[in-house]
Amino acid sequence: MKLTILKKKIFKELIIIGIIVSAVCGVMYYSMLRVQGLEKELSDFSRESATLSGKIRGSKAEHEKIIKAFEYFNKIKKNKYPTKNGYSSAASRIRIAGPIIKNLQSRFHFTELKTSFSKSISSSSDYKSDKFSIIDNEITFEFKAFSDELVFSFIKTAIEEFPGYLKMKSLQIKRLNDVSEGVLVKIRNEKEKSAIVSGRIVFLWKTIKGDFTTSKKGESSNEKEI
Amino acid sequence: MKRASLLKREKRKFVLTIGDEGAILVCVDGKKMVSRVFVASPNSPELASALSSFPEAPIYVLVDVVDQAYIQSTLPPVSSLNVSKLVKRKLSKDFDKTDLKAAISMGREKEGRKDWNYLFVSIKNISPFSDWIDAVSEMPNKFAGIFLLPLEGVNYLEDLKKVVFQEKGNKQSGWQIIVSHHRVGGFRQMVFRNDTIIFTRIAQPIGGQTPDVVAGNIEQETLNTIEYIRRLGFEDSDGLDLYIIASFEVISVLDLTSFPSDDPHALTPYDIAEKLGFENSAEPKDRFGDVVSAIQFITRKKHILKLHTKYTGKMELISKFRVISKVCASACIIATLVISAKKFNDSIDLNNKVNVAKYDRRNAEEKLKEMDKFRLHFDEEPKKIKEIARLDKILSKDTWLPFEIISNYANIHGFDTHVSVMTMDITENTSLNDTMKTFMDIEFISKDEDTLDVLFDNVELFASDVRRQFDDYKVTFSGLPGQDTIDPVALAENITIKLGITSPEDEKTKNKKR
Repeated sequence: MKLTILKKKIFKELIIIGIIVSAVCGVMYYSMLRVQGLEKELSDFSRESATLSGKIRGSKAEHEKIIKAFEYFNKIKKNKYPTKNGYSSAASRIRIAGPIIKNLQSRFHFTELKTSFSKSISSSSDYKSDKFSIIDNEITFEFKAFSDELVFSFIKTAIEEFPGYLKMKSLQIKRLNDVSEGVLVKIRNEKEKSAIVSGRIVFLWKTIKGDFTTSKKGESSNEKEI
Repeated sequence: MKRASLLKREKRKFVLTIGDEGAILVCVDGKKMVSRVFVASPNSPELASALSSFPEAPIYVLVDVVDQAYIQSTLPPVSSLNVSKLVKRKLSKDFDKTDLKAAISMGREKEGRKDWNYLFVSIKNISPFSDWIDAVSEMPNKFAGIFLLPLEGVNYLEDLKKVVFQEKGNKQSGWQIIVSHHRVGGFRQMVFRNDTIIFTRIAQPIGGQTPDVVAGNIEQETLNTIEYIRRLGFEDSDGLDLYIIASFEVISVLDLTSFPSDDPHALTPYDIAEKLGFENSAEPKDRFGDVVSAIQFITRKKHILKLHTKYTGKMELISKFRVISKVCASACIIATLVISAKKFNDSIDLNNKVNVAKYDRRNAEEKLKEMDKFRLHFDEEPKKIKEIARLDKILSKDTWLPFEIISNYANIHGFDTHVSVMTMDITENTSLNDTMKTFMDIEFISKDEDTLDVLFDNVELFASDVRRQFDDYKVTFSGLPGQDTIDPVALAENITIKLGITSPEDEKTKNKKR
């Protein structure tokens, strides 16, 4: 019967349609999966690139800091550089400072100069450094000089010439005599040691201790032990 | 067997006009007749042979048998939702179960109760009619439906009017009658009132087939019909348009004046075919109007009523379902393919982006490696250099020296003073500025001629000068003399005051030169 034939026909057609639709849907599903996969891959790559960019930025920043530090370092006076033992012992400190003090006394015509050194201590905790430590001690000068100007010049020169860092902690200057003719005559007279001012200066002397060498051309290593 | 190509849709259609004397099968392509054949019985091989020539062409059955009923009926003025129930009930009650039946709405009365007017139609689905339907429905061709020739005559009337109005531009009358001589049926008469079918009848020719006899039959039958419609309300004053379709020989001897019609028209099938543009549809000598009416029917896009038997109805449903499922599947496939194409396009785009991203990542990795090499090259040194720089900054931090104090003090002029003692104490602070305290014992040298007042004034002036010179500092004085406390003996010597200068706590002196 035609109706039966029609039913069979439609059944076959529906199967074919179903197969075609399934195939096409399969293609679509595959495309969607592929797109999803690529999106995920792209997202992963983007994330990795962002991470790497961050690292590069960090490295760049680090490089800039290193370059700046090198520029700054080149300006530091060499007598400020760290030394292996940082003159950590009192004996080494006295050994270094002695000639300098003697020279200063002579240059600034101190009639009298008594120097005393306190015990050297490490004050690294204040500076939060894990590579170097700071050794400091006090140097006390009791002096008699011809003028307060000489005293001030002494202070300035000592700060420049001492290795490490010299900081004034206290100063006391007393006028002993007025600048009168009588006094000046006395001073000229080398038989009597006269002074117009006397006083006391206390310095805080800091040096950096640590293992350090430079690889720059022309610079010698400051590994020299005193 | 000619099949339409896969891509080309079949435009040809078959119309099988079934009458009591046989059937005529016409194949039409647009307005052009492709073939026509008279089929005596449903079992005739000509029927199967003709239909198999175009198996993709659908077949329309046009019924021109005598056994069809048209009953006008009014239904009570219920709502439009409820009237369909009344129609259904009437159809099941007033007609046989096996009949093919339907109802056509003729609208509502404009005045009074506003009853519903319906035309109930039915055909007896019995042999020989049912034999034709059974035969045709089993053909490979799609069964397009059963249509009633008289009902579809409304469209025929409309076209006939165009034919005659083209010719004479006649005015329209209230009643219209079409009398068409058919091979398969006889004289089909269709009566219309204001373009609505009122009733139909078919009469068999009596006394032979000569033109005179046929013309006489037509005249008699028409007059009988006109008499009948007088009972239905026709009056001569209403006007009657009469269309008689017969052969040339018949209309030549037809006496049109015998009809009480203002505008009787006698047309041959050939005339109608020519006027309506039906190609290849009729010869000048054609005697019967079956073919022309079938072609006119099929050229109309919309038909009045389509009927189905239970069997053909099921086939129609299945066909519709096939079409719908194909359309839906096509839409689904197209949409899926479009989406797939888009996704494929996206995947190409993404693939390119992934390649670019891979390339970028590779570049970034290489750059990072180079940067790491730079640092490794210096090993520990860069860290130490940085550390030394940091420590140097802290240790080289500006601190207090006596030079500025001395320099500022030296700017104070006009007073006879000398500093007998100067002390300066500096307190170190690694995170902030160091603090400084300086004390000076200042002797005011009095001259013999200086009075006490002068001395006091000098001290006061001196003090204000000092404050001015050291305006950024905290300045204190102690030992300033008051008049009532001054010792005249001491006055003979000098007044010593103690000046204290302390570094401020505010931002002002943070960047001061030392």
